[in-house]
Amino acid sequence: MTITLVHYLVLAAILFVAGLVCLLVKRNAIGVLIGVELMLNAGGLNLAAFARFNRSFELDGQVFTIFVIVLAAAEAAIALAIVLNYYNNATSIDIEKAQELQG
Amino acid sequence: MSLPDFIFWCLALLTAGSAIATAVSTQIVRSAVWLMFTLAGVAGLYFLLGFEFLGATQLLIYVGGILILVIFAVMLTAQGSFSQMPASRGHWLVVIVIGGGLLAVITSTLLSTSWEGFSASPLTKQTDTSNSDGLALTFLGSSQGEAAHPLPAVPGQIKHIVHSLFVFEIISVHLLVVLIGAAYLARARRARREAA
Repeated sequence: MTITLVHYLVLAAILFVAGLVCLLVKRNAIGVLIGVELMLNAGGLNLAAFARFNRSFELDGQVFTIFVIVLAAAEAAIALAIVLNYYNNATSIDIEKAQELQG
Repeated sequence: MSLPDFIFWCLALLTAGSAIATAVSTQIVRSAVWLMFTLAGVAGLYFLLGFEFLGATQLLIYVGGILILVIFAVMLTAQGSFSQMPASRGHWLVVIVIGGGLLAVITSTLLSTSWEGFSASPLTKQTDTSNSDGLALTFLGSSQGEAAHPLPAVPGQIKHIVHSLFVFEIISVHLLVVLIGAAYLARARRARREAA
């Protein structure tokens, strides 16, 4: 049984669902961020797999994956800055206690 | 079973197992360490797919950058050693139902779709000889070698030209803005902290 596109897509689906579970279950704000990183990785893996198995998408897929990685870096930087700022103000990063952020 | 297939199964097992462990572990430090293994596994899959530049980028930015950032944030916000914030049992039940349902829907859709035309072909000459050259040309908007391979699934496809330079500029400015914003948000405010 050779490895086909579907194998990669199923693996990416598992990664995505693990990220979703992590996002929903963690009460620590940094845990939520880790879940988002997992989901973004699943998207990147999907793009890379399609780039490999569809010749005309070969370069575009890699470029998109690099964009996803850069956006993930930007998102991590801004989210961690917000978490640190919130921790400075509330001395807690439990998101169940962060009710006043609802505005 | 050929060697690439064997490597794929090893990497897939590593990646999926670490991802699940990331989601399940209650201590945030352990989550971060499992995340490292997941990211390394995905980088290995990029290498296996033949995209060396992508794999190197993944290792440099994710494992070298984002993970260090996450671990520093964990250390800066730690409340006592090994603090845990476990979710309640009912919460877990709901989340497992949602996650399992989503996984079942995605997997059944993937397996029932026919993927004709999507087969592994040897990498084109443009990327095979030196991977980063082709990528650099794509970023610059060069269409060299692209028009020779119209999309197989879409008939009557117009000439396929890549324009990534504009997106590249936008993402550069975006990154600059975000980093300035992050530095502004996270700067130490000592007076306010003492008052609190």
